Amino acid sequence: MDRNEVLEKLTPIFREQLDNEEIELNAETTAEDIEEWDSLSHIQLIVAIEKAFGIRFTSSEIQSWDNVGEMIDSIISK
Amino acid sequence: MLLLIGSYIFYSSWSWNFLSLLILSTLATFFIGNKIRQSEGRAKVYWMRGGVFLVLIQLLYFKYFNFFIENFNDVLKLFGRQDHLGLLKIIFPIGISFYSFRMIGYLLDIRNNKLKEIPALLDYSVFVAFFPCIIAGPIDKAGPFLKNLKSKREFSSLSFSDGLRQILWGLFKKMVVADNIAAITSPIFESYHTLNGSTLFIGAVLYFIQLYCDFSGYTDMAIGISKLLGIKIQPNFNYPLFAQNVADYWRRWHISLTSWLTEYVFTPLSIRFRDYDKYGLIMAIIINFLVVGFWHGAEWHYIVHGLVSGIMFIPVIRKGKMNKKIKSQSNLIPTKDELKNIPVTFIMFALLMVLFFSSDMKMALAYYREIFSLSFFRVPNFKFQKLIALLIVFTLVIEWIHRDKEYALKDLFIRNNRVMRWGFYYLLIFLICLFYIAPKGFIYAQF
Repeated sequence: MDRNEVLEKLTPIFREQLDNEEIELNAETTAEDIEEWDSLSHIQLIVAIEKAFGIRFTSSEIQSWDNVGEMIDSIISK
Repeated sequence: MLLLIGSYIFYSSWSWNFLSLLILSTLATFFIGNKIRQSEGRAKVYWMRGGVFLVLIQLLYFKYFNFFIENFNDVLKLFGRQDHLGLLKIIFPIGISFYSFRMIGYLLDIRNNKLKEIPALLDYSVFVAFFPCIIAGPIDKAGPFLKNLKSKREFSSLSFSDGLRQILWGLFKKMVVADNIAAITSPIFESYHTLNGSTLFIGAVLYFIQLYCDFSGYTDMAIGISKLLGIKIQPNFNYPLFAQNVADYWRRWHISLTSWLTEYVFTPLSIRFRDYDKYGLIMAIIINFLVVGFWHGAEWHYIVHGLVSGIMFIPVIRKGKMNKKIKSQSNLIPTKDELKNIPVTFIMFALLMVLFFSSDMKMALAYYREIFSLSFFRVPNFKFQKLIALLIVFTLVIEWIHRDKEYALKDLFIRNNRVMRWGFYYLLIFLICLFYIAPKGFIYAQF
């Protein structure tokens, strides 16, 4: 899977979990850019992503992300 | 260098005997931070744990040692043992809870690769001991603070006057509103057992406003002074008295502590508990708020305050309403939602304050019992000064009008003519002189 494919697959997950159909993601997107993305919804988002991709992140991976691009790197590395 | 010397002199003026502790722990955490950066794999984790443990151990010793001894003695008594451990006379180093959290945040940021560059020792020492923030926060994060410190600072008359304006508003909230409310709440709390429910309820409401004005007044002064020095620090309050629900309140109250805990306690825990769905989130939030309670002090009433705060979050999590952030409004006339939500949230947190200001659980329970008794419907049996009510209304109206601004005075009358603007500043200065009473310490300096 390349970065664009991962991004395409991530977008509907973000939209559904954060209940906002207008979300547009790119590698630089951060929680600051999406109002509904807060510390509580973050966890629901991670669980949904892990389920959709059939992977399991480590705690330190999750905590090291600064933007969606770094999240994509972790998904590709699995 | 000047900032560091100034900060150390400032700290010595409050607590000279603990300056060496501050310097030693700064050196130790700086050294450990370097070790975390240089090591790989398990060694990285061990250095991080060692560093956090070292900071926590000094915090536990100075702030919590006697609490554990007292509770250990209580347990011994329960088992019928007469012997007990003696308490130690420990003097509490001022600001330790604040600078310890800065240090722990620094170490964890290096471990999580959030801090891309290791700072120079001098810059790190300023970050830990920065004088406007060392007594009662805000608890800044290392990354943004150090970036700010390193960038070239040039004098700007706009940001200088902005800083002065924020200091003026902070002084007004602290010296006029908070200190004068304290002159009412202190006697109420001293003789609470003789007062009826309605008086005690008003006492709790007043204390909520007092604490906000005291702490946010301090913070406005700290941020204002930092602006004079060209350093931008983190905000700590966003008009919490106008919060519309529990989650909204915690996004607005003591922001630097709540965001610190969200990042370093709640998030790691909720990641760990993520397989348990909402129950995992509830567990994480309860532990998070227990830490908030314990951070305030080694007293059961603070811990119960934290526990209840966590429990108050459960309906928010269960309803799944947590990801609906409320947009900040600037309308003068409150909307229907604001009229409905703000008073309920305000009263809820004013009642929660009882656990905060009570000297122990016995007082808190007696206080609640009286509020929730029929005496709540009686006329208050305490003489309140009406002038204070006017001051509170004046302050709240100014805050309401400009609640979408960084602080209430920021743009007030900026577009109007100079006479009006300066007239208002002089009015505030006049009120500060008029209502000045013997200076009281800041409530949060004790934590």
